[in-house]
This record gives sequence, C-alpha cells and structure tokens, in this order.
Amino acid sequence: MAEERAIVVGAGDVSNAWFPPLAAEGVRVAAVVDIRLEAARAQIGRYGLEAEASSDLAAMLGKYSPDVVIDLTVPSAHCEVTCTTLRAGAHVLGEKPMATSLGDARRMIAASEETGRMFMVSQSRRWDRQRDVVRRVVRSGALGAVTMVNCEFCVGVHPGGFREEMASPLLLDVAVHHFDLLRFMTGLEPATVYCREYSPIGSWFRGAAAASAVFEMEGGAVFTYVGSRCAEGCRTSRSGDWRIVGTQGTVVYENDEAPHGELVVGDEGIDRPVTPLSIPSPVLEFEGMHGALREMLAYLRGGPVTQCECHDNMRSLAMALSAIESSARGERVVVQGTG
Amino acid sequence: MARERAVVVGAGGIAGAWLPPLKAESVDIVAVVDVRLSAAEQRIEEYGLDAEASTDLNAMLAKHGPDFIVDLTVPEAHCEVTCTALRAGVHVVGEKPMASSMEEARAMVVAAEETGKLYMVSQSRRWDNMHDIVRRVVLGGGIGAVTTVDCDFYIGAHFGGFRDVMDSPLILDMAIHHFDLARFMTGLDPVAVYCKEFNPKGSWYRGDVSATAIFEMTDGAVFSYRGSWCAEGCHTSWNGDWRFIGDGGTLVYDHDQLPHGEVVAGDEGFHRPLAKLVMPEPRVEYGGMHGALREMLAYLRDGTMPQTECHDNIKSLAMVFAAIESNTRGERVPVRAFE
Repeated sequence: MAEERAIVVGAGDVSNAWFPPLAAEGVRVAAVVDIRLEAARAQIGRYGLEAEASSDLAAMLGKYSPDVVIDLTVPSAHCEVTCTTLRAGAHVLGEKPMATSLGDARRMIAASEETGRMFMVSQSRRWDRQRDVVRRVVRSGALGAVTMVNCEFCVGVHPGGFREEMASPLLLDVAVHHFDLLRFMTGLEPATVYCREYSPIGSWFRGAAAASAVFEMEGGAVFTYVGSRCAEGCRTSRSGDWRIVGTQGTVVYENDEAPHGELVVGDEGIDRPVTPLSIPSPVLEFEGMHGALREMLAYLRGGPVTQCECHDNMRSLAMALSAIESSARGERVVVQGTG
Repeated sequence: MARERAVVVGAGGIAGAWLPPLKAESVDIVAVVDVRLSAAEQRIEEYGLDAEASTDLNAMLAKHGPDFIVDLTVPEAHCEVTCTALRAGVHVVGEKPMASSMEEARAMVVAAEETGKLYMVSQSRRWDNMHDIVRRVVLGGGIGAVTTVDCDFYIGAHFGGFRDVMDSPLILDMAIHHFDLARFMTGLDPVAVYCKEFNPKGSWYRGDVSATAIFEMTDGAVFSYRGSWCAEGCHTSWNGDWRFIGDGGTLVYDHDQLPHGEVVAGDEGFHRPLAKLVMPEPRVEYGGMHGALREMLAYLRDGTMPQTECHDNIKSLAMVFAAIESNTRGERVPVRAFE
C-alpha cells in the first residue's frame, strides 16, 4: 500500500495526540508548519520525523504536494489554512471546531465543493467504544422514538493559554463536541435553540465558561444542555453525562462507563414494570484522533465519504454558534443549516 | 399548654397525611368541612375525632372560633377558603400550590396583610433530612458562592385521573416542589426564566408533561430544570437529582441519598486538588406535613415565623406561572411575585 504524504500545520499541544497515530498508520509527514518555526522543529525532533520545518504553508504545499493536510492550528486560523490547502489540491483533516463563524464555515465548504477535495473535521470524540455502543443501541430503535436528551458537563479545568482568554470557551471549544455527540448518538438534527451563557462568580476564564441551552430538534424531540468548565469538584465525564429518553425506555451514559438502561415491559401500575436494556459489546478498535485519521485514510484509498465531512460537521458548529447568538440576543433563534 | 383548635377543610386523599400529625400534636380538631358531607363524616369516623362534619366553612368558623384552619381543598378553592378564614380572624396552613393563578395568590397575601393573620403554605418537601443537610451546607458557605444549580426529574408515572387531562401537569403539579426546593436549598430567588414545555411522542397525558427551564436567579446564578412525568426507565428521585456548584466546590444530591461533595484544596494543576466535603448530621425530627404543622404551632405559641409564610412561598409559585408564560410566549420573561 502506498504511503500517504501529509503536512502537519500547527505544532502546539494537540499535535502530541496526532503524531503517534500518524506514525502508527505509516503516513509520511513531509513537513511540519508553524508560525513559530522553533515549535515545528521541536516536534520534528521529539518524534524523530524526517520532515521539513517551515512557517510557510503555501511553499510546503507547492514543494511536497501532500495527499492530506492535518490542520492543528487555533480555531481562528482554520478557515485560511483549510482554504489554502484545498485550493492547492490537497485534502484536509482539521481539528474542531471547524471555524469561528458560520461565514468562515461556508467559505470552507465552498472551497471543498469547488476543488472537489475532501474537508473532514476531526470531531474526535465520536471514535469512542462506549459512545459507539450508545449510538448502536439508540439507532437500533430499542428505546422507540427518542423524545428527550440531556447532557450535563460540569468540570473544573485550568487549561491556561488561549482557552482562558477566548470568548465562549465552553460553547465553542468544548460544547461543540457534545453537540456533535448528540447528533452522532441519536441522529437528531437541530431546529432552534435558546441559550444562556454566563460567567459564574469566581470564574478564571475571561469568556463565558458556563451555559444552559434548550434545543428543539427536528421531529419534536428536545435536547437540554447544561455545562460549565469552571465547576470544581464532583466532575462529570469530559464527554458529558447523558440521559436519552425514548417512547419505550431510557439509556443513561455517564462517567465514561458502559451505558445502562431500562425498557418498559408492561401496562399496569403507576410505575410500569421495566426490564434492563440489553447493551451490546464494544467493537470499535481505534479511538479518538486515530479513528478520525483512519477514516480519512480509508477515503484516500477509495473508501466512502467520512463522518464529519464538512457539510455534516457544520451542523454541530451551527449549534454552538447559534447558542452563542441566542445568548447575545436573549431569545430563541433558528439554528442555521448549511444553506 | 393550651390545646390549639383547628378546622380541617377538605376531606380528600391528602387528609390522610394530615390527620395523624394533627392527632400526634394533640390539636383539637373541632370540625371537618367538605363540599361532600359524607366525606367529612367518613374522616371523622376513620380517625375517631370529636369533631363536627359540615359543608359550611363560615358557620364552622363562627361557631368554633378555631386558632387555625388546615386547607386541604383542590388548588382552585385555596383562594376562597384561605381568604374566608383570614377575614374571620383565623390563621391558615394550606396545601400547595398556594393558588391556581398569581392574581389569586396576591389576593391571599393582601388578605393576610390586612387581617394581620398568618397564611403559610405546606410546601412539605422542605421538611426532609437530606434537604435540610443540603441547605445547611450550601447556606453555610460549604461550596462558596452558588453559581449554578441543576435539577433533573425523570419519572414515568401513570396516575390516571385529573393529571392525565390537566394543562401543564408537570410544571403546575410537580415542579412547584422542585422550584421551592431550589429556593430553600440555595437561598436564591428567581429573576427571569425561559421555559419550553412539551408533550413527547407516546405521552399518555393530554397536557405538556415535560419541560426544560432556565432560571436566572439572584446573584447571577443559573438554575436549570429538566423534567418529565412520562419518562420510562432509569427514574430519578421524586425529589429530583441535584447538582449545586459554587465558586469553591460542588455538592451532588441524588436518589435521596446522603449528599456528597468536593471542594478545591489547592491552586496548582489542570485539575485542582480536591477535598471531600463533610456533611453535617441529620437533625430533622418531623418530616413532611408534620414538620409544616409544627411550624404553625410554633408560630401560635411564640410567634416564630414559618419559613413558607405566604410572602415567601408566592415566589415559588411565581416561578411556576412565569415558566408557563414563557412557554406560551416562546421567550424569556421576568419572574414577578408581586406586581
């Protein structure tokens, strides 16, 4: 099998999660690009890569003609890096969030359509053994029609850096994962949202680090999200603690443990009799960024369009950006689609 | 000690929860009033009371001159019964909810003010050991300033009867308890609310039996409520499952178990070190209606103001009606106890 060639753009922290799977999959990293040349050099040294360090993406694209660019830059740089790459004829696998505005996201989609190149967002938490189990259970129809979904994410984290300085560090940086997981696990798509984001007393984030949001989903289900990144003590999972209610029963997935649930099995009594929901065994082999990377590689080798292809992923981003808009306006708003 | 004299108004199912504590406290029940005389007679017989059965509250007030009445009528009758008693110079302890509209509730408060008589609401879930522990920890500053409160209530209840056909069965009939507990356990009061009520697919209720609400509270805190009475499987507690976040830590109270919590104990690291929060010993001797009754008796004996005196309790009721109004209007509305 031919070795794919890649350029990694952005040599910050998150690149430490990408170089190992890139090596494991035999991808040849031709160049590492960062606006801080020394950061690119440091990562090349650290991972023993035969790659060129550069601060000039366009030059590296011209020189190496890679199959794919792995975009690990800060969110505000995603649009430029992605569009530059697509227009140079390479595919893009980029870190989430897709962009920091829907205008940018639409430009990226347009660039993908015009060039016929793939732009996939690494919404890495989709590739998780337990979440894959939840998805299979819910999509099997075991719960009946899904009517209510709750996610609670309350953690106290001190990431330092841009996250403590950015606007909407909860909604844009983390909740976009949870919103995407909602879509992944249930197949529901958003219609409207009311959100209140706020900065709790004592918060060490400059932006609003907490939010509550009510999404009306297509088909009438309601998704309620409660989140905070400045909640010390009794942490939930970083992927949220979930309750998914359907017409026939409920599945609960929390603390990253195997999900559990109950189904109604009778029609007598104030409380109807219930039976434990049968939960399938996990089957997913490659998790996180590694799972995302393998989907991109499969696509390059002739496989199907990946999950989180930009048209799809924009809906998760739109949930985050529409929530921010709702909070700013103090009213319920329509969640913009890909139109 | 002189025996207090009481008239019980309403001989329905709930009277079965009041007559035992009334007897235990040696209250002299001089009359039981009900629109159905036979129901009043039956209760007198059942509990061996030396009381008069009647359908005429005014006559009983005039004849017996009781110290207080216990109003156990349906919500729609609370205003008339309470105002009648207050204007006859008699104190009132009444079942929740206070009234079936804010106009009625405000009229009841005015009647209490004009007559100088006490009107308290029996918001019975306040008198509970676990709720008292949460309140003492939170109000005692155990988690610092409260910033975020979440309550989840998911039960599949097949009552039959009036709840199946009423409007807003969850918010009006059940959430009043949770809203009052939020105030009781945090000391925070409501400022504004956005609420979405809905009736999920497969619901066996006619009205909206699910709701999600985001309350803005005093001091900038946010209280998120998510509830349903038609959620089969994996039930929460009837009291709701709660998370209280403050700027110093978190307290979790769920499944009616002893609350547990963690507080920050250092200032280094991505996750700060945490210490376990120590819970005080239980101290509530008289739970539920018995606790409410003892507060009324304490007031009669030494003037100690009951915690659910009408000026306070109307704030919980205002949360209910503001939530319903928000849902009807599809927008955030202020919560106003008094005009």
